[in-house]
Parts: sequence; structure tokens; C-alpha cells
Amino acid sequence: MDKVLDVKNLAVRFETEDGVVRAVNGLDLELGKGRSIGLVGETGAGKTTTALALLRLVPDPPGVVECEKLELDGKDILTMSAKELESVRGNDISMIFQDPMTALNPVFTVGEQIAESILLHENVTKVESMKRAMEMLELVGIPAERAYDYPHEFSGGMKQRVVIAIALACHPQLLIADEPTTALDVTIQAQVLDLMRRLREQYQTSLIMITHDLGIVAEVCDEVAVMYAGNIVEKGTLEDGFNHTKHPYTEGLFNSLPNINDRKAMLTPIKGLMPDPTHLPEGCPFEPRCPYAGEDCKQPQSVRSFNETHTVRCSAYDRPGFHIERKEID
Amino acid sequence: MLRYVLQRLLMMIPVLVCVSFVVFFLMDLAPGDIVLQIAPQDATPEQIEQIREELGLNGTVFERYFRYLKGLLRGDMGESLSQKRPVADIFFERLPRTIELAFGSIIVAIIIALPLGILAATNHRSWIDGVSMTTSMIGVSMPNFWFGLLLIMAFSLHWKLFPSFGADAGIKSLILPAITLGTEQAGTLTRITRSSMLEVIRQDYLRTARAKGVPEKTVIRKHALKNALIPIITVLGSTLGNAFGGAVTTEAIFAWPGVGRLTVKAVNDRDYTLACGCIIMFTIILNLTLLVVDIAYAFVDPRIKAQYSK
Amino acid sequence: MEERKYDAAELKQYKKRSRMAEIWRNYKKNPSAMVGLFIVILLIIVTLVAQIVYDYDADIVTQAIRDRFIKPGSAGHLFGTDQYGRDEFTRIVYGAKYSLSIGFISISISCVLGIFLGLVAGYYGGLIENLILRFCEIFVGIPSLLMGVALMSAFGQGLGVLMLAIGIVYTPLFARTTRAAVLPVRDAEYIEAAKIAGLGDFAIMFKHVLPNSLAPIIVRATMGIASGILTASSLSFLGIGVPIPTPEWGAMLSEGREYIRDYGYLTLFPGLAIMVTILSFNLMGDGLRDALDPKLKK
Repeated sequence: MDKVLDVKNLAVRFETEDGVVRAVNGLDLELGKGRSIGLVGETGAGKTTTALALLRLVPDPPGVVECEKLELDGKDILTMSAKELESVRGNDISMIFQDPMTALNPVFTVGEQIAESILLHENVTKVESMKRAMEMLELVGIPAERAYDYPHEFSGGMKQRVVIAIALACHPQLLIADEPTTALDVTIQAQVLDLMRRLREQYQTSLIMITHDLGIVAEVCDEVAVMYAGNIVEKGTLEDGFNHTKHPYTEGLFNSLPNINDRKAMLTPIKGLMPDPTHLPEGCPFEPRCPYAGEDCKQPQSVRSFNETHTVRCSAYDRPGFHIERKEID
Repeated sequence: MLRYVLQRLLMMIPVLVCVSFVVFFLMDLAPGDIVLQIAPQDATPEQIEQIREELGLNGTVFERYFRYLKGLLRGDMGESLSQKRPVADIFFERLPRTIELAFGSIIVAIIIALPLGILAATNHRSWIDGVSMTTSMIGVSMPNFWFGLLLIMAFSLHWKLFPSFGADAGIKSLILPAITLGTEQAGTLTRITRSSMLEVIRQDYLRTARAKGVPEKTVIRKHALKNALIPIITVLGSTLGNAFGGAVTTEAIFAWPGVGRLTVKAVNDRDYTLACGCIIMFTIILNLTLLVVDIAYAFVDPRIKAQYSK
Repeated sequence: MEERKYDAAELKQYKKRSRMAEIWRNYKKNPSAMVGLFIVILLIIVTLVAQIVYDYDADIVTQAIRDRFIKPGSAGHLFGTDQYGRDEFTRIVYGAKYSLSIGFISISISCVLGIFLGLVAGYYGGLIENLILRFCEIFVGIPSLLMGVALMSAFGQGLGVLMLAIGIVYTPLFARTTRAAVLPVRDAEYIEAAKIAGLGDFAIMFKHVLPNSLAPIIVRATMGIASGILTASSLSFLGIGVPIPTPEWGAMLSEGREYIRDYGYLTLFPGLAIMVTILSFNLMGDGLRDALDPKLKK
């Protein structure tokens, strides 16, 4: 399988006055060409920081990024100079940000902002880049003549379409979408997701979808990775993650979703809060909240595989006959 | 847009009436009688009264003010009492020099302040930030008449590079006065540039630009700076407007023939038509400058433009 | 275990002290602000000592033509002597009194007038507010130096007039600052509560509104002292402030300027004194702003 992204042992920490915040801790991530993965987790799990680290956009200072391997389509991003990075960003790898209201520069027209990316990465004239920008607008469902309008003249959903147009303008290999629909109305959410799926198929773009919404993952992604306290605790295909859930935290996430078939069932939220990233426990970070926790959970956790695609970071499976309550669906 | 401009121009009229009123009454309070200065020493009280009437100085202060205001509203600022020439002529003779100095100093201020402020903001809390903030604080605190004299000592007396007074040597004459005034203005401008850039640097859209692969330099110069310009332009506008009123001390040090010294001299001579005229003209120019600034906003920020056209 | 009981007065005292302590803690963290504070305190001490050590007639204004233009650094004359043989160092040290008193007194005048106008404008709103604001706008539109010149010519020269003139010039600034600070407080619920409790307008203004909007006024006042000193010395430099032979720094500079070609130090030292003084107040103001409102620092 051709890999578009290969990350080994990624760690990001922020050295602030109030202590060292460990946002990402030894994360591994691989993604095949044309595949899409959903990165799921609560607020503060380190999803956005991971994404920024992939673009090498973690603000430094205070951020420090360490990594064993960070390759994009076989190219080593880790050792790239600032100039090389600039040629990769927006060209090979793009990002859609969470809040479309603030993601666009208010003093340039949307056309200019799309064209800028094309002008930077492709050998075209200014006029051509503007023409291409208008085509991109049409592609995301906005009339081309609106290229000359400013961001404040667009609604939130339209702005997010513009942001998508910017991100896809140079047909990147990998697109990172950071909660692209969180700030939008539900009806608009569906439209934007549909648009992303269509464009992704059209351009064969790989996708990392960052979200806290398992429904979106089920709808858009081929694989799912669940993040907790700066690391991936369970990763696999949709089938692995949704139907053969293994990690107690993933189980907790499913249990806190309302069930349409059994509306009388009680929601079971996960008790407690995510650990303070300045003082992470040595063992499993989920141990304090985990209903299956035992003494063995206080040791550093290792990853185990259940099949070729399905990996889980939970040492409870060393106990003979251990299983979580959630039933497997075949 | 046009309606907005007209509205602003109309709003200037009451301001002008008030300003002229304040200045007129202050001048009236001043001790010393210009008529006694003008009249021959052996003049009889009747002759003095006659001169007073000829100059339009008879009657109570209110009568005189309303006479003056009537002329003013017709665009007539009267005749200077000490120079016996129309106030407008005297003022506009001097104005070009003041405009020269105002623009010269603003250019100096921009050259110093923008890079310094941007550097401070992009290197927030580093030693560069510290140095540039200290420098700007010294700029704000330095009396410009002193700095001007130091410049004269160094560049006119010691190295003999530039003339120490007057405006007759073309651009060479302008350099020291412009630096003197410009350094003073640069202090405030640096601080505004820094704080405005700091505000913008935190914004999400800069991250979007970086994610597009825009080089860091372009991110700062194009994406950030254009957004940070509004407060910078505001300060630039009021600085320029004030410089049009004549930088009194700078003009005094370099014997620069601008309107600032003219105004001070008129006040000291109790030449109230000239003094009033100068201050009124200054108020008009200041308000016009501020209007230009407001229009300039529209070119920088499309959101403001949209507001104007409403 | 017996619980310690606090009565209301004690609690209030405690609260006040902790707020002051917090401001001081924040202020201390800023080295340049501490330098500013140190110089200001030093200046005040020097001024007080100079009044005891020096005699105005004998040391400050008496001429000694034989000793004129002694170079700085000579024995007994650290800053040299001026065109009348008067010791420059003594005159500068003695002259600190003028700049400091002008700064403090004139800004006190503008504070009192400005705070009153600003409170009234902010508290009552409506027509009164509009009138006061327009009035301030007109005043602010005229450069402070020109306004100072006009006021000085109206009331005549002299130290007292200079203080009053500068006080008037800076009043609109304080009125605006106060009003801006009062606005967010005006509609606060505790003001509503005080009204319902039957407190008079002025009691509410001074007891409840003002203390809660003091921070920006204090900062503005510290910086205002710096501007006041600058305007005063500018006016004296132009010959319409404090008349010579008073050793006011601006006036000294204006005198020394005549000899700039050969005796540049007579220009250098008074100007340096003005700059250091203004710089210290500005640094203090900057530090106070950060200390009073830590949120702003980010």
C-alpha cells in the first residue's frame, strides 16, 4: 500500500510559564493514498495540535515538536527548510480550519485569497490564477462573479466553502479538515460534508477528518483513530472501530451517544475529566476514569494488534479473557 | 460616500464657530492693547478712539465677535492688525513651508516606526521587543527642542553638513527639522504599530495564510500589516494634522518660516485677527486631514467601506 | 477549633490591602517601571534636599562673572558654569522643583476638573454628556502647545499661571478618560442597587462609580505629569512660561541656546534633565497600566 502519510512517535509540548503542557505524546499515524481517516476525541485531546504539527505550523515558541519520522508521500517534512515547507503547504498538504468566520482575511477578496495559493505553487500568471480561483468557487457551489466580494459579504457556510476552495485549489495529496462543520448550522453541515466527499473522490485526495462527532466519521471516513490525552488509543477500519470496539474509552464515547432505537435508555457519560496535560500520569491516561481499571493500568501502555488494521493501546487485554461490555457486531 | 463627506464638512461649521469664540475671548482677556502700540506716542484720547474704530476694535467683545463672525462666515478672515494685510494672504504665504515640514517629518516617522513596531510585535517579549520599546519610550519622552539643538550641534556646527536655520537651502534645510519632528512622532507611532500588529498576529486568518504556504515575510507584510493599518492610519492622520498646525518649537529652533511661529507671534503681538485666523485655518486643515483619514479607512478595510455606502 | 471571626471593617481593610499588594507584585515584575519609580523618588528627595542646602538668592541667581563658562568636570563644577558664572549643576538640581511642581499641580488641576466633568457626563448621559464631549473635542482639536500659548497670553506669565494653563489644557483628556471608564460601570447592578437604596447622585458618583473606574485615570495621570512637564518646558523654552532667571529647565535651555556654538553643555544638561524626568514618569505610567490591568499585557 502506498502511504501518503507516515508519522512515528510524534510528540508536541508547549513550554509555558505555568509548566510544560504535553499536548501530543508519541503518536503514530499512517494513511494510505486516497484513504480517509477520522481523528476522534474530546476537546483538548491534541487533535488540532497533531494536525498543526503535520504542517509544521505549531507556534514556536512555546511549542516544541519532536518526531522519529514525519513523511509526506515519501518526503521527509521533519528536516525541510522553511522554504521547502512553504512549497509543500497548500500544495501537497492543506488544512481546513474549524471556524470559517475567522479563517479568512477580512481585507482581501475571496478570489484573491484562493488565487494566492495557486499563484504561489503553480507557474501561472495573476490573471490565470484568478480564473482558476473562479473555477474553484464554482466547484464549491459559489457563483464565480462573487470572487470579487469580501469575506464579510458571505454567510458562515459560504465562507467554509471558500476555505475548502482555498485548501483544494492546488489539488493536495492530503487534506486535513479540523472540525470543518462544528461552527455551522446542521443543514449546512450536511451540504459541506457532501461537498467534501464529492471533491475528495474527484481529486483522489487523502483526508484526515478531525471531529468529535462519530456520526461524521461513519459518513465520511474509511478508518477511525480515537485520541485521548495526546495519543491514539484505538485505530482501525470503520468496521474495526465501530463494530469490534476494543478500547474502554471508545466504548465510553459510544455509550454517551443517544440511541434513536431506544429513546428511553439512559445516556451513560464518561465520568470525570481528561487529565491535566501538565501532569500526565505515567500509566494509561484513561485509568482514573476507566471502569475496567486495575493495577496493571498504572504501567506505561503498549500497543497490541487484533488484526492487520486494528490496534488498541490497552494493557487490560493481558488479563486472561478480558473483554469490554459493548457487544461486537458482525 | 459623497453624502458622508458633505455631512462631515457641514459638521465643521459649529466647531469653527466655537473655536473662534474661545480664541477670540482668550485674546480679549489678554492684557495689553494693540491700539496703544500702533498709535503715535503723542496721540490724544480722541485720536486713539478713532484708530480703534478704524481697526474695528470699538464696542464690547460680543459686538466685535459678531462682526468678526459675520466676516468669517462669508470667508473673510479680516486684516492683520500688526501687518495691515489680509490674514489669508499672510497665512497662505507661510503654509507651503509648514506642509513641507509636516510631510517630511511624517516620512521620517514612518521610516523609523513601522519597521521598529513590526519587529517588536513579531519578536514579542524578546530582546528586540525590549530594545524597540525602550527606544520608542525615549522618543516619546525627549523634548524635541532639545533633540533639535543636539542635531544642530552635531550636524550643523560640528560636521557642517546641514544649515542650522532657515528654509533657503532646499531639501538640505528640511532634513534636520524633519528628523527632529519625525523622531517625536515616531515614538507614538511605533507603540501603536506594535500593539496593533500584536492584535492581528493572533488572528486565525494568518494561520490560514501560512497553511497555504505563504512565506512568513509575506504573511507579515501583506496579510498582517494591512489588517493592522487602521489604528496606524488614525495616529498618522492626527499626527499629520497637528503638524499642519505648525510644530511651534521645531520651527522656533530652526527659524523655519511656517505657520506655527506665525501663530505664536500673532498671539504675543495681541494681533487677534491674525491669531484667530491662524487657529481657525488650523482647525479646518486638521478636520480635513481627519476626514481624509476616514476616507482612507475605506480603502484599507472593505467592511468600513460597506458602512459608508449605507 | 475556634474559628477566627472577621468584622466588616477588618475584611474591607484586608481586601484593600490584598488588591494593593497584588498591584505592587505585578508592578515589581517590570524592571523598567521600577527604574522609573526609583528615579521619580530620587527626584523628589533631591528637590526637598536642595531646598534646604541651597539658598535661592546666593546660589541660584547671583552672578559671578569671573567664573563664567567653566568647563564641565572642573573642580567644584560638575556640569560647569553658565554665562553668568552660576553653577549649572546647582541650578539644575534646584530647578527640579519647578518641573515636578508644575507636573504634579497642573495635572492635579486637570484631574479634579476632568474627573468631575467626566463623571457628570458619564453618569447623566444625554444632553449634558453630549455638550461636555463636544466641548472636549474642540479643545483637543487645538494642539496643546498653541492652547498653552493662548492661555498664557490671556492670563500673563508666571509659575502659577503656567500651572493653571497646563491644567486647563489637559482637562479634556481626563474628562474623556473618566467618561470612558465610567460608561461600563454606569449600568452595573450595584449602581442600580445604590440608587434604590436612596443614595444621592453625587454620593453614588464618588463612592461607587469613581473607585471602580480609577485604573485608567491613574495611568493617564502618571503619563499626564510627563506631558505637563514637557509642555511647560516647551513654553518656557519659547519664552512664555516661567521667566528667567528662574532655573526652570526649559528656560535654562533657552538661555543656554545662545551659546550653543561654543558651550554646548549649557544646552545638553538641562535637556537631559527634562528627558530623564519625563522618561521616568512615562515608564511608571506604562508599568502601572500593566500592573493595574494584567489582562492587557497579553
